[in-house]
This record gives sequence, C-alpha cells and structure tokens, in this order.
Amino acid sequence: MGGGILALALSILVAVTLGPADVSLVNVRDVLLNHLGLADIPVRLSKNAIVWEERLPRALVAAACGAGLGLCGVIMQSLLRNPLADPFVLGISSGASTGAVIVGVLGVGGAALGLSGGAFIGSLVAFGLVLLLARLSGGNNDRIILAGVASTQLFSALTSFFIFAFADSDETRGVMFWLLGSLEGVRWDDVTLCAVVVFCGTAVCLHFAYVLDAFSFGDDVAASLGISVAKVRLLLLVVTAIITATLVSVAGAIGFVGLVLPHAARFLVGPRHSRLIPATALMGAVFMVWVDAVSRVAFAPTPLPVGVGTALVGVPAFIVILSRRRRTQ
Amino acid sequence: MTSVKISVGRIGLVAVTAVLASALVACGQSEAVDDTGAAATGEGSTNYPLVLDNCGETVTVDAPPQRVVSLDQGSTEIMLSLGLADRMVGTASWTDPVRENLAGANASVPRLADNAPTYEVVLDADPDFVTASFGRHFKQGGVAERARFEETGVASYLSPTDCENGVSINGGGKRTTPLTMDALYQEIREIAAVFDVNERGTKLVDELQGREAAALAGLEKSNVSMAFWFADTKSPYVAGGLGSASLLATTVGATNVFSDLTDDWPAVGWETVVERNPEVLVLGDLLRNRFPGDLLADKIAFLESDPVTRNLDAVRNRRYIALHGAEMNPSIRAVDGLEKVAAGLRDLKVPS
Amino acid sequence: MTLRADSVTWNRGGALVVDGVTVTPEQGETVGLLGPNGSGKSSLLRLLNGVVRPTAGVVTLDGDDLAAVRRKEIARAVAVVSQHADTDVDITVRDVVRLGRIPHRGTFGGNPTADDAAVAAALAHTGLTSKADRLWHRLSGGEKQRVQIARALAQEPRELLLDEPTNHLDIHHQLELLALVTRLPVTSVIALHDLNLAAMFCDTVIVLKEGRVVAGGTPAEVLTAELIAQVYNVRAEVLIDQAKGRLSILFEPGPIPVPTH
Repeated sequence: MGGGILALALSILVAVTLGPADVSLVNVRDVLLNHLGLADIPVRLSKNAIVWEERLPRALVAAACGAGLGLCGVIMQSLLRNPLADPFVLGISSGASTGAVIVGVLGVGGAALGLSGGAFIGSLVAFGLVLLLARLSGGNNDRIILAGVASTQLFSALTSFFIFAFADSDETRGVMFWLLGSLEGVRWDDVTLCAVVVFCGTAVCLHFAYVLDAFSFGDDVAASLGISVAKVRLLLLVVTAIITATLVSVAGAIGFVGLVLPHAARFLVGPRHSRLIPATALMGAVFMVWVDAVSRVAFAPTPLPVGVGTALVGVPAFIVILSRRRRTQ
Repeated sequence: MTSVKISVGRIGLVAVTAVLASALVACGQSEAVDDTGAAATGEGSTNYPLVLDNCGETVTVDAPPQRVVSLDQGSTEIMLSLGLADRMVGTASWTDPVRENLAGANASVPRLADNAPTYEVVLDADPDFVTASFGRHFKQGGVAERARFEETGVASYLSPTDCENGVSINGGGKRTTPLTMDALYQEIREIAAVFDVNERGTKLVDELQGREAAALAGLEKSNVSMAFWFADTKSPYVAGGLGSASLLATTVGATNVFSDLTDDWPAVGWETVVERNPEVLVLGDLLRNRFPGDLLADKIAFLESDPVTRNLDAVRNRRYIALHGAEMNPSIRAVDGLEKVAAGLRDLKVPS
Repeated sequence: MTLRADSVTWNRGGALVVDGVTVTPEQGETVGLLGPNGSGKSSLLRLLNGVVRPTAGVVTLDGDDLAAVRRKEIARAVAVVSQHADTDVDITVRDVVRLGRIPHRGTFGGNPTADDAAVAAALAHTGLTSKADRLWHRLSGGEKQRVQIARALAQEPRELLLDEPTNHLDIHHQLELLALVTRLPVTSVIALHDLNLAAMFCDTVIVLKEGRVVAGGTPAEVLTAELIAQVYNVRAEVLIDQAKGRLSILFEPGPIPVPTH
C-alpha cells in the first residue's frame, strides 16, 4: 500500500512535467516549495500558472477519477456479479451528458448552474430512473442492468436530439469534447470536490468490503450470511452513483477505467475486497495520471480527450481480459 | 488462471529507487527569470494606463504589450496590418492562408495551433496580452476564461464585432442589431491605442474606408437577392441577417434572402433555399478542405448535380460569387469580400 | 433452542405456495423434506431462513418471531446450503469458508483467532484441509458442495438448512455428503428428492404436496407404498430390512392402478 501511494505521488510529479509547454522537475520543485511556503524562489508567472494552476490540479483530478471510477467498477462488478459491469451501467454518463447539453446548448440554468451542475443533476435523474425501473421490474441484478441499458439509451437519444436540433457547430464540438472525458480547465476547487468524494467513498466501501465478499455467491447466500441485501445494495448503488456523478460532472464520461482496472487489480492482489478496493483505487489513480499526461503530449498542441486515451489503452486490455476468461471457462 | 500476487516488498523497492532517481534529477538550479526585454517604443500618443470597456469587461493596459498572443486570424491580420509583428508571440485559429501582403510579417510569428490552442500552449508563449475575434475562446471549454488570464497578469481583448450589449455573440449571446463596419474600425482603433500606434491605426482605417467607397462607386442599388453559403452540403450553413456576411449584401444594396434569421450562421435545408430562390449565390471557398463541399469547385459541382438545387435560377445561370472564408468574417478581409461582391454584381449584370 | 415453523402460509403472486405447514425439528435431528417439484420445499426452507416472510403463521427461533430478529442474529444460528451456488470470482476454498464468519463480525471487524479456528474446524469436518488453497473453479461438483457445507459450518450454526444438496452429485458423493451432514452436531433440515437417501439418513421426514404437509414422522412410519403413490404418482414397493433397521424403496415403472384418493 505504501509503495502504491509513493508510486502515485511520483507519477503525479513526473506527469506534471509532461506537456506541450516546457516544464522541468526543477520548475516543479520550485513551484511546489513556493506554494508550500517553504521557499520564495522567483518563477515566471506563466510557468507557475502552468504548473500550479493547470497541470497539478489536472493530475490530482485525474488521480481522483482513476481511483473513483476504478472503485465504482469494483462495486458494480461485485454487486451485479457481472465482470463486464462498469460505473456507467447505471445510466449516469448519459444522464450527465443530457444535463450538460441542456445547460450548454439550451441555456437552461445558465451561468449559475454551469455544465457541471447540469451534468450532476442529469446523472442523478438518470440514476433515479434506473432505480425506479429496476424496482418496478423486480430489482434483481439482471433487471438493474437492463434498466441501466434502457436509461442509457433514453438519455443518449435525448442528448443527440438536443445537439442536432439546437446546437451550432461550436457548441457541438464543445459538448462532444466533454462527452468523451476531458480534464481541460479543471481547477483547484474541482480537486477538492473530487478528492473529498473519492476519499469518503473509498472509506465507505472499505467498511463494506466484507459485504462485497459476501455477494460472491449471489443474493441468497449473502442474505443467509446476515446481509440485508436490498438495503446494502441500495446503499452501495447510491454511493457509486454519487461518486460517478461527481467525477463525470467534473471531467466528463471517461470510459474503460471502471471496466478494466478492477480486473487488473484482481489479477495482482486477488478477489478479496479488503485488498482489492485499495489496490484498484491506487492503480486507477496512477493509470489515469499517466493517460492524462500522454493525452496532453500525444497530439500537441491539440489536446486529446482523455476518454480517447483510456479507450486506446483500455480496449486492448479488455480484449486480453476476455480471451483470458475464455481460456479458463 | 492463477493470480499473480506481487509482493509489497518488490513494489516498495521499485518505488524507493524511483524516488532517489527523481531526487537526483530535481536537484538542479532553479530557472532564471529574466524580467525585462527591450521594450519597443511607441508613438507616445496613448495615455497610459489605458482603460477600455471591452465586451462587458474593463481592460486596463499600463504599458504597450510586448508579447501578444492572438487567438483568431481576424485579430492576427489586424495586428499584422498595424505592423505589430515584432510584438506578437503566437497566433491560432487559422481559417484561411494569411492575406498575401501580410505573409512576410506573419512568417516571423510562431503559430501556436491551426485551431484553438490549449491554455497551457498559450501560457507557454509567455504572453502579456491575449486577443480574440470570437468569444468562444473565453468560455469554459474554450481556451480559458478572461478572469483566468487575468490571474496570471494577462489582459485580454475581444473584438467588438463579436459583442452586443457587453455579451459575446459567439460565446453564447444573441445578436439583435445588425453588425456594421464601425465595429471593425473600432477594433482597429482600440488595438492601435493599446499598442500606442494610433497613427498607423488611423491610416489603416482610412485605407479601408477608401477601398469601401471605391468598391461601391457607381454601383446602383440593385435589390438583387443573394444567399451566402458557407459550408456543408447536407444542411448548408447560410448567413443570417445580422452578421458580417449579410453586411456585405446590405452595403452593396442587395438583399440577403435569409435576413430574417437572427443567428450569424444558421443551418437550413435546401428546400428553404429553393423556396427563397436567391438570384445570386455567394459561395465560400474554404481552403481548409475538411468537409465535403468546402472548396468552391466542390460547392459548384454539388449545386449543379443535386436534383434539388440544380434547377435554381442562380445555378442554371451560374450566378456565383466566390469569397474566401475569412472574407465572410468580421475582419479586415471583409473589405476584400465587399470588393469581390461589388465586382461580382457588376460582372453578372443580373436582370432585375 | 431451535427453529420452528408454526402453520406458516406463503402466498406468492397470488399462488399459495406453502399452506399451513408446521415444522418442529428436535435438537440435533436430521429432518428430511420430501415432495414432488413445486410442492413448496424450497419455499419452506426460505421461510425457515427468514429470507421471506410468511403471509400467515410464524417462524420462530428460540421462541422469537424470526421477523423481529436481525438478519445477522439469524445468520449466527441458521446456515443455508443451496443447490448450486456458484461464482465467477477466483476465490480459494479457504476464502469461501471464511465467508461463513461474516455473521460473527463485530462493528470493527472480526476476531481473527476465533475466525481462523472456526475455519480450520470447518475444513477439518468436511475433509477439505488439504484442498484449502485450491481455487473454487477447479473443484468438482462434489467438492464444491462440500465447500459450501464447510462455509455453512464456519458460521457455527445451530441449524443447517440444505436445499437438495445432492442433486448434481454422483452416488459416492451423495452418500458421503449426507453422512457428513447427519454426523454434524447441528439440527438439519434437508430437502431431498431421493426417497432412499431420505430413508437412509433422516431421523424424521416431512412430506409436502401442493404446499401442504401430507405426512410427518420417521421414515418407516411415513414412507409407505400408498403415500408414495399418492404424493408422487408412482408405484413403489417398500422393503424393510429388520436386521439393519433400514428402509429400501423399489420403484416400479408403469401406470398406477386406479387412484385411491
């Protein structure tokens, strides 16, 4: 665990030096020392802004997203007993897109709400719909997944409709970039928000690690082990929804992290959740920090949406997972 | 499949090695910050600090900027025309090749991006002033908000051609009054004032106004109807009634068939175009060539082959006027556009 | 000190699945639950476990209404083994058995010493100690069922409810499993299809048909040719080996003579 945290810290420091602008570890050291109040080294304003106002918050939000989405992936896969589940099966990312588009394109809510506010509300509406549909149709795992599919389709269609009907090309491009997951423009208050949500979420999930273990053999076995299945499932889904909604509303829908990281972590530390949860969070954080750094550099000066980066890495990784599963079946 | 359990010890060892390695690298000399470069001297006619009311923001300039980044071609070409290339450290968002007479000066200015750059890329050029022709760059999701530039001590300027009542049109506002050339001339004068080159500014405005008058000389108010087609063959983007393209029409005394639409560049269907039957089609020749129908030749080929459009009067009689993309934007190229439209009308001799 | 069902009735989606059933096992007894498909055996077990609540009647644990007892308390006393619990997770035998310690967790986690002891004991009882580190999906069907039983044992329950635990096993493993269960110092209620197995291993049997108890008592008392014909609609001959005190049921194919009910 300690090694993992150290790896994360290092990754962040190195990632902050990567990008189209020229920043060295020495610059980073100077800026950090200045801001921690430990020194007063003269640093160019623009370089300070790049390191402290742009890349560092970005790296931290990337880490939070990786940790949070990975964590939610673990919960979804264990709760729904489906290795292909990810945090977005609850319809959250499409709901977020619709919410963002309503604010960004239709102008509802405007400056007060902002794209992120709209996205957050949209996520929760979609999630609420999933819960409702799932409850109406029985509430077991398959129903939840189907309800999520239905909700995703509905909100995706709405998003598309609003874009085609109302958006001009600039707005469309702006929204699309956000839909793919983008860390452009994240600031320190985004860092605080994401960090708090992810830390709290991880703490809650660690507390329920044994419950997730209990779900290995299904609802009935879990119930016979003393778990209040319906209550706990609802609680974990809500926690997942809140974490995911927050992260998506800050950084857009970053795919593949929640799907692939749990498998990678399971491969390294095994399925016991007391180990799997922290491992996934750390690995997810390190992963996202690097993908974000590479996204900045790969096509400079045009930024690559980070969701494209995760897909480029995630798809081959996913294929490996699938083929491995086929071999053990 | 057996799980591979990597011992924590091994991760720890790798991590410690990495820490030591980075510590070594980070133990370097801090970068020197050279504060003053040779300041280019101005004409001495601007009183600093100069305070401008710019699209809802108050811009205060204490001294002529030495390192300006221009986020749009329109703004770039104004500054190059004012001879400010030695104070420009970056350009972006190029829709067309630079105006020929400015190519030499432009060559000395680094191009930061063909489209919109990222905040980081702009900062990397270490600017002290940032200009834009389109407000979307200053929105969340664009380059950076003006307040954010302010945090690093970089003042920002948005072209008045994109402003109405203190709100950026391109940044999400709506136009309710038609754009006039005055907004462009205001931009030129304000930029000239900021950089303390007021005489050059006046000269440029006079030159442009002179060319305007010459283009219109002897041109009768014809009431010819026209439509401006910017791009896209599926849902063509046409000029609405309040923007710079429509201004070209009204200045030459023609009418824009889509003048009732208030967006600067709304997308319509071809049926609507046929229904409104413009006598002349002004076609954008977009050298970016990114989408089908960008180039002039492609536009003409489409118009003459598509079953809906080929029976238009304008198409059957080949009444086309070609303009570059930049000429349909509110920039100094608009005057080029005006000249071409006027010349085109003279050539086409449309029967009223 | 035990689980009782008193005249429990359960309605599911308008259908009467369990109708006025009373089950009162004796401490340490092995009770067989018999009956054709759809007779309500599984549902009765779920009622006994408290997973579903009866629409009428009451299930009690130590005299307390099960509905009023916390799930965790129930899980410390009652363990369930179902027909075919499976998982995709790459879990080891030991970790499966360790799941059984969950009901004994306090607010801040379990007691590692007690947990390890219980797990070790459970593994020993089921003869799985040498296989403790094997992966679940590498086990045979029989071994998987044994692991589930070990998991149930790790719960240190007083009652064991098993729902057709021998369904997917070969004869060797069927006998082995039931011998193990009857050996255990817990009260067991086992739903079974195989009448001979019931006769061999159960102290008492309860026969259900269409949700109602049709007969209850020792196998010798209950398993008669008439009852078998009445409940299962098949012809059978019941042989009693007086020397060994064992019951054997021989089935005869072919249509039943005119029904006597």
